[in-house]
Amino acid sequence: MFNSYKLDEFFDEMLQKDHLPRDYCKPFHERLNSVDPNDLQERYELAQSDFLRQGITFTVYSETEGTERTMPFDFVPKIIPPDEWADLERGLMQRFDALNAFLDDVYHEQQILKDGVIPRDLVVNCQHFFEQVAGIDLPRRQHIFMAGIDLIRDDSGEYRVLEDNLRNPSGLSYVFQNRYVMRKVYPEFFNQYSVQSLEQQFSYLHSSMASLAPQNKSNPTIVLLTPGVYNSAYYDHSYIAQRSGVELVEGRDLVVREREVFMKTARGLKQVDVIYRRIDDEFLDPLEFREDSLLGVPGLVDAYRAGNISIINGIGNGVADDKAIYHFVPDMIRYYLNEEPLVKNVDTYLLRYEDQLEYVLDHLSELVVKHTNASGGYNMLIGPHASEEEIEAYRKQILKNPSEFIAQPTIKLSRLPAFKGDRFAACHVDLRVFIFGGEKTHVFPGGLTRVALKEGSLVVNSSQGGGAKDTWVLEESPANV
Amino acid sequence: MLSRVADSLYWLSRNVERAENNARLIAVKLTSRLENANPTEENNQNWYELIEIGGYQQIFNENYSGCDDRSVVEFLMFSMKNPNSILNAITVARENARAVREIIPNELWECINSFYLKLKSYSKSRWEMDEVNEFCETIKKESLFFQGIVEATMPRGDAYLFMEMGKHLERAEKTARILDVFYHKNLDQYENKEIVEYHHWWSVLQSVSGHEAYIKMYRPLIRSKDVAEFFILNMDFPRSMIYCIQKVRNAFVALEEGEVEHYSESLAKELEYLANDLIDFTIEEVLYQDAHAFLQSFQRRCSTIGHYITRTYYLGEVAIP
Repeated sequence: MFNSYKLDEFFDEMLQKDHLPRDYCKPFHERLNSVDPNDLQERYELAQSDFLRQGITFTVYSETEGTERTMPFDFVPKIIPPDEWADLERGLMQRFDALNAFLDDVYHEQQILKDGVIPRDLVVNCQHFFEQVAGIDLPRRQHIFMAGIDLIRDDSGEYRVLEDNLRNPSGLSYVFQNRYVMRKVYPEFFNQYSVQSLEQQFSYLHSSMASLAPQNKSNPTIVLLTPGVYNSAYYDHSYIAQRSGVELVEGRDLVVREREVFMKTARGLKQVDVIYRRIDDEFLDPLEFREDSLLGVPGLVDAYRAGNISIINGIGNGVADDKAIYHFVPDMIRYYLNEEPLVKNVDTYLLRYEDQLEYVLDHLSELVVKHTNASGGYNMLIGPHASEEEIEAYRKQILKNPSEFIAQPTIKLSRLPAFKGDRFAACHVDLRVFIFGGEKTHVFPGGLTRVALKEGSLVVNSSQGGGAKDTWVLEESPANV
Repeated sequence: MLSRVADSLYWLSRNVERAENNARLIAVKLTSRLENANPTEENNQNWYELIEIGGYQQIFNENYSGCDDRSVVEFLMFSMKNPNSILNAITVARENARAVREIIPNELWECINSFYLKLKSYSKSRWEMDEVNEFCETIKKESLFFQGIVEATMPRGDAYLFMEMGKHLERAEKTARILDVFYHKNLDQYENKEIVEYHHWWSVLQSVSGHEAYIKMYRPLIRSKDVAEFFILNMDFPRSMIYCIQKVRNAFVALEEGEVEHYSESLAKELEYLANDLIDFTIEEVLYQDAHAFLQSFQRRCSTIGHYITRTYYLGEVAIP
């Protein structure tokens, strides 16, 4: 099964350059070599049908009617040994705390701008910076309730942060479903490994939400606000609401009276204290943001300002996960925490600076260039894959307003084996780690490993052939066998 | 409980019940057709009754040129143009279940989701008439499985009670409708009237799975008056009109913990009056005042109760003052 397996110039998370498995992967690797491929194929189909039956699907709208597809699941997990995880955990908590301090600062004194650590125009011109929420004191000064930080490993195996998602990171439910299917369909794969359990995580999540209630209210009423069943992340919303025991509501279920928020129940109105919203800022309140929003609740921001409702994640968090601000996160860590960053960024060039612009324009064919206000892979140039004309067209775009662009070297994402029916192939992976804030900062053990199942592809997105893997954080290194 | 959630639960169970009843009707028609071996004209008439029971004759006439087997089955089972088709009912049920998946047991969601996926694959297949009976069996079984999960796993709180109300109101209305359509069918034209009549009522009983219970009570003598009594006034048969209305009422009483408040007064009264009317009447009195008129009025009152439920619990898009 591993005969045609190639390592190429990438970091392989299971095999070393000599094709021998890394120590902590040894038992798993041996198992993969000893199982019957037909048996694996059967189990693979069983796992997919399980996802279908549970309705863990996303909708593809290319045809006249939406077709439901399951997210492909690959059973070779990403395994993280204890010491590697401990380092990562420390680094992510540090980053999380600095980002939160930054948000509280830019919506209050703006000391970091006054001290010239981050250019003021970058912050105030960011489309996700909302003056509407400046000066509001949030419970525990906590702007970030849940962050989803995307990590990659470079060609030397070092973890680097690719993106901080501080608004509405999704995917937590898939982490649980991946583990569930793994336990159900491949139970013996867990032999010889002691994997950190995910079971208690929802009690942490719930107490995190409760600790962010206004005026430290005990036993607060918490709701999860969803755009509704047609949203592509609806499964995520309903799963989290169910598992953490909070009510799942839509905008039309809520109403604001006298700067307080209520939900409409079969027996009248009931006051709400905490809203874990999964609706973007712009759609939250038609009186403050987009007037045409039907998803939101009129008067919600006013109730927020009055301190009668907690909205988590906070409004305006997008200013901290902006593509250009990203460049300054290591500086934030030094500024607010007086510490050196433990997990590095991917090298980023800001084209607003003369010297960096010059370098980038000279090396366009080697770099990835992104527009700071675009997301999801839109309007970006992947130098190595672009034609001469495309590069020239993009160059003109850059020169019109260089400060709206950033550039990064093409990243050599690490790889893991993925099952291909009769063999294993090396496929690129990344990892989204979830971090909660509240009474104290808590890192969810593991996270969502996404894999680009199309060989050679770097796109891990599920709409473009990406899939998922279970993520194992080991309690201890596996027993030597 | 959120009003929107109560609304979804109510319609979830109503729609599953609706799908099951439609499947029962189709299955009975399929077999009675074989046993009767009547000429085609009679056969077509038979099918048309099912369309009448569903109540969307016009949509059928607009979309199909004739009443042949395949057209009728497609219309009743799979047509998305027919608001009452089985696939439509299950699609709506599944959307409602999805909107409350965090409220209902996961097993229940998986059940309705598989149910939907199965139906969808039937509708896309190039099915033949001889498969239809099997489809009906599957639909009945899936619905019974659904009800079994509800009974075996759901706490008897608000969620369960809203589902109870939806299911039994749907069932009461459907029983009345089935009886109504069959009751005013004129059988006098047949030479062998006695045999035709027997077949006729036998299949009516089958369509609510009441034939076995009926025989135990009335012996295998099938008379229209007895069938009507069984359908309308039998206190023990779980698909009779009186039984279903009592169930709706019990669920309401449990939901309100026996109290009648200002907001629930009209619903309480309407349920009480309807139940009392059924208790007070004998079958002779019902038939004397004309069965058709009685059944029509019963259906109207069921739909009034539906409106009151919606209003009392702010179901659907009701503005709160």
